[in-house]
Amino acid sequence: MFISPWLVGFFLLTFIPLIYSLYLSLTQYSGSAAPKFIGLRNYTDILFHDDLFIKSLINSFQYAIIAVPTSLTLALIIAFLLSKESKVSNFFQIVFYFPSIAAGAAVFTVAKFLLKGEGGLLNYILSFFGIQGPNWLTDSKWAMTALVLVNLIFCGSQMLIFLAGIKQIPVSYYEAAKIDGAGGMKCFFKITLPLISNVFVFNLVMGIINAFQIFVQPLIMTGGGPFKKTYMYGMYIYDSGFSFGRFGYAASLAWIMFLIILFISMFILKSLEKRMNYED
Amino acid sequence: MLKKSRFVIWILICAVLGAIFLLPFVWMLATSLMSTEQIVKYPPELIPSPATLRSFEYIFKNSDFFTYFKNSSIITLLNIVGTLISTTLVAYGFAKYDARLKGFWFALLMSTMMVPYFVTIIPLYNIYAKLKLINTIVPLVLPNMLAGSAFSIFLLHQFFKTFPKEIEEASRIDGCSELNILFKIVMPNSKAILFVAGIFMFVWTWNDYFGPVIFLNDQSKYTLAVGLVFLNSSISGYKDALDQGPVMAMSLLTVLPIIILYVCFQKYFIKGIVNSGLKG
Repeated sequence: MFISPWLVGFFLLTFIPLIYSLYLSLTQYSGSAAPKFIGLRNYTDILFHDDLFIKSLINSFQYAIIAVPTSLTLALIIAFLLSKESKVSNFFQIVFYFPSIAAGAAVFTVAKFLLKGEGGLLNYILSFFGIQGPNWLTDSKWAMTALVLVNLIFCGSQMLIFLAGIKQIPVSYYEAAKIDGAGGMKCFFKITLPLISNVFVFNLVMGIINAFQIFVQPLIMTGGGPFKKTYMYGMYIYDSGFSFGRFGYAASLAWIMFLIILFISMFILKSLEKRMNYED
Repeated sequence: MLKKSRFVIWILICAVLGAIFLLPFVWMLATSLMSTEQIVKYPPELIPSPATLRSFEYIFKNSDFFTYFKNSSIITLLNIVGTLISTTLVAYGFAKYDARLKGFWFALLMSTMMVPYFVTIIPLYNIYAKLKLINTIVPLVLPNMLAGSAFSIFLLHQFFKTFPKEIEEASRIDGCSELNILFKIVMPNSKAILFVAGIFMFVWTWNDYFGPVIFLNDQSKYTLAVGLVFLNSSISGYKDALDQGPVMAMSLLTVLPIIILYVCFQKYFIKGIVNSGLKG
């Protein structure tokens, strides 16, 4: 009884759209005339005749492969730095988590200005170190790197989750290790890391799911350019449907994304042999 | 001696990283208070002198800031109220009652987090278009009215599970109806966790760009995030394209409510992430 709002919402807003989307993916549909059933043609077109599909998919993979490990690593390093309970580390927790809360159009817009090639603040700061910064967002060699760099400041929630995991480890483990003569590094790799593996898998899988769906950040910062170097898969789905009016095609693209995400997540969960059990 | 120098290094690393994380916000604030001449100066400066409010005046006069603000506020408010009521019911249902297939439904709920929004957004858009609901707030508030946030359900579920059964049973014996138990006894004792769910909903809805940009296409319906991007694209291209002032002022005004909320209630935000992520 109590869960009925969710059941209604689930069927109306998730289940039915999912089925409808699967059906649309087998049709040609412009939004006005009725969908025309064309079987698997959208899928064969996408897989064999669509350069933009390949390009945007490679871009998204490239982004995910760089952005997920870098932000997880930074989150882990910061969590490790803040793992000793103190007023100062509590303060820094608040600082590092802040960008994640404020992430949105406003921050991306500012980041765009900060990364300007000429007169941008970042390049000015780099010039102190004798580094001539590139045109971050308009140089095809650097645009992807720029997106990854900006993404780093949103690692706050991953950091907090790591931190909570680290704090659950009993202090006695470290004391025992110290008596046995283990150094700080060794403690980190032999005790901390294995004991937060559950948390790590959670962050990793959520990170990949989010990285594949990245949309607003590149849309605002680069618009997919230069030369479609940062044109992500999500942007292609959006354009196919909402700019080119090919909703059937867009639905097929979206299902391919779903399958890829599902496959990668399952692969990670299986290969790490850890069961994520939400109902503890 | 060694300990002290290590502490200094630790603080230094944290401070430098923290400064980088906060840079976009400092820049937003500084630039929004500068004159055009100071903004285009190279090398860039960080302290506005003379400080001026001309960018804010520009925003209030030349953009529909107050309309955007009103639209954002209405959508956010409805989402918070909707989610608190529906999510509480659903989470309580999952936490307290044993029903057939409950485990199945709960697993299903959690797996909806894996469904990319791109898969459902295309059919949903077409369904809403058929129902003539594009350009209304319905698509932006309905999901949360129907407990659409798995995160919030999970957060409240974890809390309700720990709520002492004895209190509920005692009230049941006293003749309290099930709904009354929830609203008169459980909810007043769950203010903190409901508050956490509420502020997270505030932040998500306020920052959301994807939903509004798809479902709203009339400028008078825009939310702040969409209005900001619209302003940015309409200003660049003019003679004062180099003048970031107005865009920065609008960015600042857009994130200001989030900043205030965060500064006042950072503890609750951190608690929310830790409570929900940890069990994963």
